[in-house]
Amino acid sequence: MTARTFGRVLIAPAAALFLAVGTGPLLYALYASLHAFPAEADAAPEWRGASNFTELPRDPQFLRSVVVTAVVMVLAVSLQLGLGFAVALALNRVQRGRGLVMSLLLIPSAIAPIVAGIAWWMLFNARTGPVNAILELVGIPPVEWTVTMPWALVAIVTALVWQWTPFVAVILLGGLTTIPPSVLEAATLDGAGPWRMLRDITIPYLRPFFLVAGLLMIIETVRLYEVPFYLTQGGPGNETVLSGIYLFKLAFNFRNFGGASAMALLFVVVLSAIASLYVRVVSGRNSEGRTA
Amino acid sequence: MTDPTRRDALRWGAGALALAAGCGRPAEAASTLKVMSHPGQILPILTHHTEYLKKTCGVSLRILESPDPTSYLDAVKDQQTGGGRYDIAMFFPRFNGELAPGYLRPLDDLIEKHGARPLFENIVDAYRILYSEWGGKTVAVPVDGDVAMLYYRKDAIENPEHRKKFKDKYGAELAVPRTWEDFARVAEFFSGWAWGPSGRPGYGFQSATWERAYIEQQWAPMMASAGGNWFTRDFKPGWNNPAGVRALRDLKSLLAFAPPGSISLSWNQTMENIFAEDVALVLWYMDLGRLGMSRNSWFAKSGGPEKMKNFGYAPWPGYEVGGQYRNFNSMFYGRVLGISRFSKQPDAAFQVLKTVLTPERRILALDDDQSGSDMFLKSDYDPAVFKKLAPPAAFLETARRVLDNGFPEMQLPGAGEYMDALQGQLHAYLTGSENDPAKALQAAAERWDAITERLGRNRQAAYWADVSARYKRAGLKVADL
Repeated sequence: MTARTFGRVLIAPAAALFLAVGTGPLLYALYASLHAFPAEADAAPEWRGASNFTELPRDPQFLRSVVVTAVVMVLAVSLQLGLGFAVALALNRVQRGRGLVMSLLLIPSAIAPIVAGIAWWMLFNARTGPVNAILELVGIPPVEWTVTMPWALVAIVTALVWQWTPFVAVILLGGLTTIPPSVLEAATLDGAGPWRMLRDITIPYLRPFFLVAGLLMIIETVRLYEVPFYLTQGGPGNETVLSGIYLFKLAFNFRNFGGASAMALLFVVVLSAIASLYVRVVSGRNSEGRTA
Repeated sequence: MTDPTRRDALRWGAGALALAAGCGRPAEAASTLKVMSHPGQILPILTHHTEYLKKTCGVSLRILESPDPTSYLDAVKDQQTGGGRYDIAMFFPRFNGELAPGYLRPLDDLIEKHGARPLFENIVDAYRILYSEWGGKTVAVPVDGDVAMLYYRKDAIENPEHRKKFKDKYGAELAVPRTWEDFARVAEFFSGWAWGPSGRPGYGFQSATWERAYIEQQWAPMMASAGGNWFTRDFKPGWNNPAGVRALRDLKSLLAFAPPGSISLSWNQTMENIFAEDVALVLWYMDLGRLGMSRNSWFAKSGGPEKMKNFGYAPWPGYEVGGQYRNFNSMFYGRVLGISRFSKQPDAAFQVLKTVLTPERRILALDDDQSGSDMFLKSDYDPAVFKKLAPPAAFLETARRVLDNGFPEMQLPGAGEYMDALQGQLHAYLTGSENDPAKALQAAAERWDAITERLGRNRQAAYWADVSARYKRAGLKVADL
């Protein structure tokens, strides 16, 4: 046995395991996306070809869920990145106890999403929630947060920003520590002010970190289910049925496993496309930034 | 000889039930059954019997909890993966049409084999016919009966001063409302002024919940009372018509008389509201009358006999349409147990079903303030069976009577999707994101038609014919559109 073959034999179990648990479900999803699954006992799956895919763009609920998800994504991810950056800059100045602060910051993102959903539902409760109680103290009438627009969207975005901004801050803080002090010192000696240093040194250095954080947040928004579902149940009406909620409904409430598998695969493709475009744009700018 | 009373009938029936109850002969030796149950307050339905089943039948229960709204999905997943996950599953009867065709084992042969017919005949007809059968077979066993009724505050309605004020204002007698128009007037009258013991301005009306996932429970019986139905004979939505619009519009107008924020309150919160505030008219399920007697029930921590003594009980109001008066009460929710057709221990599983139907076992969950199981056996409505909660006879009598006009859930395959389509539009109108009730119902109807086409119009229509036949057999006088 050659060394090369021996090496292959050694990695074969790991490769088989990866194929089974990584590729297997994807292949099954592909199979499911091409079939319908009748409810009757012993009924075999029916071949549907590409119908599950071609029906999606004609499904107004699907289209609406994509639009709502896009709106939440733009609002939430922008705020998470913006506020996360601000928090990271502030923390970068903290010299003592930074580790403790970072650990505390990670708590919201470590909380189970369903727990976060319940907590925010209680906070936004129109009758008993503290948010309305505070508003009433300053003379603002109570708001029906979870059942009126645009407040239902505001509630969802607020919960997401609360949960994930600290996580983004921790990623960006990690990036800030990679900026060589010599670069900052040189810029200071050259007379660069804080704004100039932020624009021409800090942000270009942080681009890869923004890339990672942004990408994770985009994926998180597309997968989102528990927090918005617990907060609004998709209401008022269907106004906050995000793609994650619709995917779940399609599979289990509507028992359309084929359609749900098609939607899930479509999202894998779209997310991959967004990711590669995002990487190209950000890393392209990044290399420009570095060479400037 | 005088006619036998209901008590006599129950006493005679008890003899037959005693013969039917018990294991008879041991089931498969030392069986362990995997039983899916809704969690929390629903667990006592089973946990009251775990030791008993083990000792007397040799059946051990391994209870696997599954959240109420999605438990049927776990059964679906069990079916899709070839079974083996559960021997017995608990679900809402709304999903009978989803699970009966492929997952549930018909029970008729087991009923005969184990001599359990008297136990099944002790189930109130409405629950037995509407929620236990599918395609002419018995496929499930109720373990929690649900029906809503009108709870009215006697100190509001029967107060002579209030009666005089009401007559001066509306030129009519103040009475328990018979129609939804009367209801709106009474609700309006008691809104915004201090008429009760709290000394604070009271409210006219409170519903069990307005959450999106349950929003249709309030509207559907009103729609049926106004002359609608789930479907027409040619299998079109039977509520996309003036009856549906009228019910929806009337329902929204009632919100003005409910405590602020009611549109987003949960079940528990509305019950607490009822005890904390003065609310004249309350549309709630049997839980309020049964668990309201406790000061520390799983549903509310502020009830008690002194809070409940002010309540009177009546059926929901109705509509007078074309000289015909119809009134229906929401018979939504409830819970059933079914045996998986994949179970290798159907006889042992059936012993569990028999046990929960045996009156002296079943009362353990009924007379328990931490249990969410309401009456569904004929013998459950006898005040003498309650030793702890002691709900008044008038409540039990009304709870039994309103079932004669209980409007059931729509149970066709695809029920989850049909209901989601309806809930979305009802909620949109009631929360104000859609202002035209006819447009809201039209949008829901278009989705219902699309769902029907996808699931097969002829197949669905055949199922509906079966459901309609059961409505007739249960004596439901819904409009035949």
